[in-house]
Amino acid sequence: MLILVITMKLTELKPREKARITHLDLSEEYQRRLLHLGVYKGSVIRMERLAPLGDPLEYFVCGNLLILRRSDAQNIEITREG
Amino acid sequence: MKEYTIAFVGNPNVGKSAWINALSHADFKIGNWPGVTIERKEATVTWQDDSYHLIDLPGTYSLDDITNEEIITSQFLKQEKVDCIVNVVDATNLQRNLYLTLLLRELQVPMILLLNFMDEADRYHIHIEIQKLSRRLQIPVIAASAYDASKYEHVQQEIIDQSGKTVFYYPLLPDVDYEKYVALFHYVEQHIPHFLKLEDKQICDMITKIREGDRETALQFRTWGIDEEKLKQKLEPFGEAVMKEKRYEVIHSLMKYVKENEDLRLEKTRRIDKLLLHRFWGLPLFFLLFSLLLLFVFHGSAPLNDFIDYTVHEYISKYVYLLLSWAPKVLRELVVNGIIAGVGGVLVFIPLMAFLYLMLAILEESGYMSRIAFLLDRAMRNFHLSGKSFVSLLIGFGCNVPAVYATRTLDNERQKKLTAVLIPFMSCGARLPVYVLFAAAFFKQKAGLMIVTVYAIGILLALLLAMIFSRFQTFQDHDLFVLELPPYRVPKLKTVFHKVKLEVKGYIKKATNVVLWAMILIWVISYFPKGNIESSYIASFGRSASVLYQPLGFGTRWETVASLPGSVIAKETVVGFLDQVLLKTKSDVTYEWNLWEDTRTLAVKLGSAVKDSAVNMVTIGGYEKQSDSLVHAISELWTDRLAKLRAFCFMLYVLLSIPCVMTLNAIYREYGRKLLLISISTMLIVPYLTAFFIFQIFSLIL
Repeated sequence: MLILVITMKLTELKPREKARITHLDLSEEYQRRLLHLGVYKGSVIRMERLAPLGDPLEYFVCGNLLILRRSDAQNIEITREG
Repeated sequence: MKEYTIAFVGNPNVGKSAWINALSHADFKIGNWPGVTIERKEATVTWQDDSYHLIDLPGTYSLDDITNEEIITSQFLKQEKVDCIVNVVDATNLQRNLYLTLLLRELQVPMILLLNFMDEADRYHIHIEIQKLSRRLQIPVIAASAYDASKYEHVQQEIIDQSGKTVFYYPLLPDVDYEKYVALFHYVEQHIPHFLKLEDKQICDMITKIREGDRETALQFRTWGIDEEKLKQKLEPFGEAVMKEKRYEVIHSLMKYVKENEDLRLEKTRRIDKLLLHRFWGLPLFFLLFSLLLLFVFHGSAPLNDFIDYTVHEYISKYVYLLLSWAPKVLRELVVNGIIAGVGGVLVFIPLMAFLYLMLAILEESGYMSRIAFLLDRAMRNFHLSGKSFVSLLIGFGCNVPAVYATRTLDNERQKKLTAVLIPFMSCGARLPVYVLFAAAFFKQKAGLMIVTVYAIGILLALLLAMIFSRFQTFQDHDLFVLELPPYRVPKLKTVFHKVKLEVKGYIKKATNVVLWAMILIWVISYFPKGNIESSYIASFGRSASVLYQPLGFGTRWETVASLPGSVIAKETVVGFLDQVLLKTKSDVTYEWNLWEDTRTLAVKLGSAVKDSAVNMVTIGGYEKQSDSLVHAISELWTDRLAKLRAFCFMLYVLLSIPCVMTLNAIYREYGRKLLLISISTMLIVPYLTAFFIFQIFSLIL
């Protein structure tokens, strides 16, 4: 059986779509801060909305609403979940 | 009688203090933790003849020793003899809270897991299988709410039972890793000589130590003949980096005991956000909401400010003056015009401060503040500022002083400093009378347009400076931006008023010393040597310094130059100064005793001030009318071809020059001397250059 895993960037997620984080290409310090907010390799993340000016982006992770800048979200890889 | 130390630990805002309060019915002893200004709170209670010290540790997400909160909490737990840890967690947000719980468990200190906010959890239909959770974690779990007294006794009893116990918590690992851990454990155990009779706990401690790279333990292992390579191999799955992710796997498995509909908790918040964060309506709604709030603050407080001003100047001054009738004139003038006027200048701001902090507290408590940052972050980032700096800058249009204090809500030190330096470029309410006066004298119909232009130039310069400053190290920003949008909550009145009270108290304390001296100094130089302003030091300074200001246009009249140093007290003094010098009004008023009558007037004024304050909040008041004779006198300051340009440059200079002493004091108190000097030098150079170029360029064109 062939399992096709398509990785994409977190910024490619559209509102109300869910995905699982597969990789974070961010500084150690930043990753640590995100970890405490529930953003880590393996966590499930849902896109909520864009800010009126297109940046930053709102996500739903670990029961909370979080705001990330586009430039940071671009460095987070995900695979889409149903 | 024994003494026990009980540490209350948890994420920020989970209700640790509320619980200590509930259990001790007592006030906290409040102090600061060594080295940092984070409050150290402690309460002592006597239960069953033993005394328990309940310590409120700062809220933290981990024990990594990086932020101040983490350092204090982890050092306290590791260095002090803690008899029991009460881990307070938010029952509505268990998944995130449990990370710290797992870290605390590794400390091997008796622990209680206190699920707080259970009332809210029930409301959101969050169901937690307490017993299963407790069995898996090996620690007692209590579900309660700090507002519900029925559980207090249970918690107290549990603390008494746990205190001083010896515990051993097995490491919590995902199933696969647990097997590996058991294998590792047995491998180490085999090599330990039997006569040592080590307990499981001690062996686990050793494994933890070796994982952390402890040399002594490594040496010990070697003497027992443990093969280094083999050990390394077996330790591999337990490295710190991997452990972090494994903890989350464990939390994930623990979340099996929690049945919740995640969306229910945020349902209301989502519905409000749909409107307030809307792609098209979000920004207009913000501007509307914010301008309404600002109007509410400035108009609501104005009558009360005026009342205090009246009380100080017309009532207290008068009677102190009369009471001092025996004293020499200089002393009387010093007390009344120097000291009392100085103190009054500080007191006048109190209602404004209280209103402003009320607004800020409401914005913060309701959860809208972080949403402002979300809405405006993109726009402000062009200028190396963040969404939150926008709020501070906007407050600056009302008054720079609270605006500087409001920078406290920003996320990082550099952003705070940059924003604080830019705030004085926002034209505050006190500068308006100067513009109104000069614009009315020189621009007639176009007065409004010219005032708006002055405001706009201030904003443009601020944005330009933001881009320049952000190139320097002090303001450089490698920020790790992540923001949480809390669920909307109706602000609790008690919390809001408590915040306002603290801030206002702090403001009075900070403002009374330096500011007072500065005001006395200004009085001295505008009174001596001859006892009137026209021949004072400040006037002769104005006469000689006016040469410097010739290239800026307005230096041809020394009166305008001499009015500038006084503007450091408050910008509107420029008007008062010009009034005294140009119209030669006599300040010698004769006072008469009329205590009863005056007190009655004061009471009536208080009544109408409170009424006006309430009315003004909903309607929009107008500006005070300027005296026509002064407008006329000012219009005759310059009559040549460039008169208008000269007036405009003066307006601009007043906007941009050194902010008032209250603002400088706020900058100094919040960010220290270096930033104060940066601010002062900026506000010396920028206005001069700006007015210089504008005058020189436009004098060629016009």
